[in-house]
Amino acid sequence: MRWVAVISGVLLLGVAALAVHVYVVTRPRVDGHSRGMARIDLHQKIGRTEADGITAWLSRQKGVDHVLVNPGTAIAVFTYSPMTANPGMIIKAFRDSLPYSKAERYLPASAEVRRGCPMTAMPVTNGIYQFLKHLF
Amino acid sequence: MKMKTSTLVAALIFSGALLAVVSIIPSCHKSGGSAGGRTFYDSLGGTVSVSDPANFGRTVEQGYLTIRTIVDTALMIIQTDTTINGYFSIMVNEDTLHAAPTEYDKLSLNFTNFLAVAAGAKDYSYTGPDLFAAHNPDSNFNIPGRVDSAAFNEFAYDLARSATQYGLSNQLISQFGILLYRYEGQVVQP
Repeated sequence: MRWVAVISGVLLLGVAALAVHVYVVTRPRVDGHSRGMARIDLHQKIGRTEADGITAWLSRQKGVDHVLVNPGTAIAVFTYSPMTANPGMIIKAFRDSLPYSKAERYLPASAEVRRGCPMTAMPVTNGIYQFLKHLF
Repeated sequence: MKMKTSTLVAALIFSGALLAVVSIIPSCHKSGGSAGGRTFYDSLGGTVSVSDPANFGRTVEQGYLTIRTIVDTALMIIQTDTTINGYFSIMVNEDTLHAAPTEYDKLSLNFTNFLAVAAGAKDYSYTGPDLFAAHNPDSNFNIPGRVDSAAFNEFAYDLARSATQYGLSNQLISQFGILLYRYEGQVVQP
């Protein structure tokens, strides 16, 4: 009976160690070179001057590196470093600081994402490569 | 206004390039577009090693950097273009886990690699999906319908705007257009 308890304990420890190991090597990690893109739909007409003002404001935010505002479509986009910037917080601050109360972050529905450009698909080999990159 | 004019010129050159492709180039997909051994990739800076502004301490080929810069700006232009941004909404999908690579990273990498290889790069490879199968609703059930010419032209136009902004000469923009329209048949399917 004692042996069964010892073996069970060792097995349990082994499983726990394996689970921790799997989590450590597969957990999402931030890559310093990685960039994300966020989009703000302004839902109101703007001109070139307002577009320049929005560009300047967004460019000042920490972690934001490129900004583009299209006055014709009233859409602003920016790229950011996921390590240092939280796009949700930036857009909240944007609404609070500038007179664009109707502005909202555009997030596509999952069906929309599935129908999107297939060029983001990465082959299995890339997945393995990314996994190995995490390991070493 | 000056930028708008140059963009229009670029668009006209792209349209001219389309006609040239249709009338001159047979339906092959040879990459490179070399003239006398010099590829389009060489014209964009080729294999000259330069420091990579996006990866501190690393180098990148100038040709690749040129293409990547144009692609990255084009992706931003496209996202503000309501005519076609629906196709690319995945780029702004929330990345709640902040995991790398992001959807934007993947799109940028695949587009850049695809164009670099098509332009004649030898040190990079494209490992993304096959364009024809990916844009065919019969093989890719996620595609709601076939991409039409108007959408492809708008995509080319946005890429031309980016190339203009980058400062490529009209001749190089025209070559870029020729390169792009070689693959129109794989994206726009009957």
